[in-house]
Amino acid sequence: MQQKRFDAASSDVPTIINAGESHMALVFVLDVSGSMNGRPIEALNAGLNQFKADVCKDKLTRDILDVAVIQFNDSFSVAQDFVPIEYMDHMQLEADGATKYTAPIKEALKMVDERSRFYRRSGTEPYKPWIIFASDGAPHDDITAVAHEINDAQTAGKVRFLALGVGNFDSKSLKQLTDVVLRLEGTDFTHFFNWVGKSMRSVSQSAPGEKPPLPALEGNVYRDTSDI
Amino acid sequence: MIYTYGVSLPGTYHIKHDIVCQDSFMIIQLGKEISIAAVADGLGSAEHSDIGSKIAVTVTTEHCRQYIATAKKASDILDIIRAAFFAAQKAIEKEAAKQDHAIEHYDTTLTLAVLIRDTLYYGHSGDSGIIALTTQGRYEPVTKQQRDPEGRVFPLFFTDKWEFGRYSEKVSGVLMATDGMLETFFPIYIKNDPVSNIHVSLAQFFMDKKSLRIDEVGQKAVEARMKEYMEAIPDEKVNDDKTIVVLINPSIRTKRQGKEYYQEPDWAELKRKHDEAWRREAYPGLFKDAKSPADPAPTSVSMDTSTPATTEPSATQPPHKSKARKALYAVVPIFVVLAATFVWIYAATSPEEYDGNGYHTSQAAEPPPTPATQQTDEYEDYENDINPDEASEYAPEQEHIEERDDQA
Repeated sequence: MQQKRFDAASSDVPTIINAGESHMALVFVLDVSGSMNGRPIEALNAGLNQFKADVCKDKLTRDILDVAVIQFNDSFSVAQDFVPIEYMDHMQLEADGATKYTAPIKEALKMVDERSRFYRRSGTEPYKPWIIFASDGAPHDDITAVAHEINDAQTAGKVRFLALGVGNFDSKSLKQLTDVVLRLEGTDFTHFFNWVGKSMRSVSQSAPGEKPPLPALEGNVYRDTSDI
Repeated sequence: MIYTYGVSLPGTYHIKHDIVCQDSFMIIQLGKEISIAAVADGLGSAEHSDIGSKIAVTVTTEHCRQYIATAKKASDILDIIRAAFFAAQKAIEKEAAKQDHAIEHYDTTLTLAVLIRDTLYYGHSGDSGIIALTTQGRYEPVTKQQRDPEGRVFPLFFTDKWEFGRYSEKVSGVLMATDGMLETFFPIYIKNDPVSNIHVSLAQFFMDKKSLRIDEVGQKAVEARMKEYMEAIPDEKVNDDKTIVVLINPSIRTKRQGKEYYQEPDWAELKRKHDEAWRREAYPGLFKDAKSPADPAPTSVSMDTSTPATTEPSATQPPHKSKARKALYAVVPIFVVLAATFVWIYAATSPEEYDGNGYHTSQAAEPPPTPATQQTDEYEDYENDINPDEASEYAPEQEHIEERDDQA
């Protein structure tokens, strides 16, 4: 749309200064249990690193997106604390161990909550944060309580939680966590991260608080519609 | 007389997505000394909020027009404004019931001002707001945006959030705006400035009778110019609906502040300082000299960009591997000491020489881890031309993931 120009008759016409700058928090919560060893973890690393490169090409998205990465197996660690996407470390996650969902998800919820509070406190208009959870297995812990926490946070509009099932993932568990469960056929994460990147671009083109349309799923990424 | 003008424009986001303008305003002039005005911003998430906002401004201003002349004291005026808010709420409920819609579909904000000569009375609900030009010549916010900790606005139906009041200072001008425009008066770079958090020259642009030359060119000409200005505001600054209503009483003596009060700040420098402080707090790990997020920002700090994240891959150990490694690091030194003791004893007691090679410990790499202003006693020219029997009235007129066919 063509922006009109104001024909200033005098030099005393003030410039509109940014009322506020918007930011968005995105946390990846990634399963690095033993079953991801080999080709899957290599593909996950490649996908993450390509995601960064792609998003950085779009200035609008690059300027708003703060990203963090949590890796988990039977314990968890923050592989990447929040940084602007362009400062995200090159990811080289390694896979080993068993799978427990509760602690890493709780950490992710805590991180996005603190981030949103920080944005507001500092006068930054926040977009709704996203948590993207990916797993190829079934949890070895009871996820009932954390599923309630996710539900409460989503209902309150505090976060958007997406789950990606990889390989022989446990559809029932992921659906217990969230309504939006995607399924990756094979181990190539390229299309998935491409979709996430496009989604981030769509978000960046909207105003905070709005519900931007998300792009269509592509390639080997499907909505998980299996019965549970 | 009190001059008034109002502009309401659909936001570019609304135009792009074929959404109607959800802002409404209404101005009623009651004689030469009284102006009643309201602005309302229908919530983007509410399907019929444009109707809700229209009802809100129409009902409240009309209610005030009917009853304000009967007020004998300030509390009467506030009672009338409060009653007007209840009347608006009832009218919206009635409309929703008539159309068989949920009341939430009509959610709107509502801010109303009654300017009686130099005294401002107001009612306020939501995140629109009022700025006053005081007789001291200062531009001051009168209301605060009502939002929850998640940034969501409290609409009109949150009756416990309603605020009514008489502004503590005498005023010669009042500006009302819905959130898109209102926030432009409080740029992020000065928002928390304890001395003045308002973009003075912008407020002056809209409210100063001298620069507007409103008594010379007239209300309509000013309105047209302001409309032109607001239409030209770039998308990246405001893409929401834009509504401004201004009431100016040129007959009220208004002091002028010192020149510096009206000057544009050095925005580039303010932005630089703001960005630096913000980034330091937001990304403490990226600053070479950051000890903790709570550290005060030194005057010159730069982000550590010497090692762009794209170059050197850094292996990120899975959690339990890190634990095992830590445990190993704890055990190795003990083992080294024991072994060294054994070797020393062995060497001391054995005829063979020990060559000293054998034990290495490696240090585990840690994971990457506002200005005072001078007031003058200069007064604006004014005329006392009160003539109460003139009244004029005018009114301006989705989340989803697209699924492919193969995903039933």
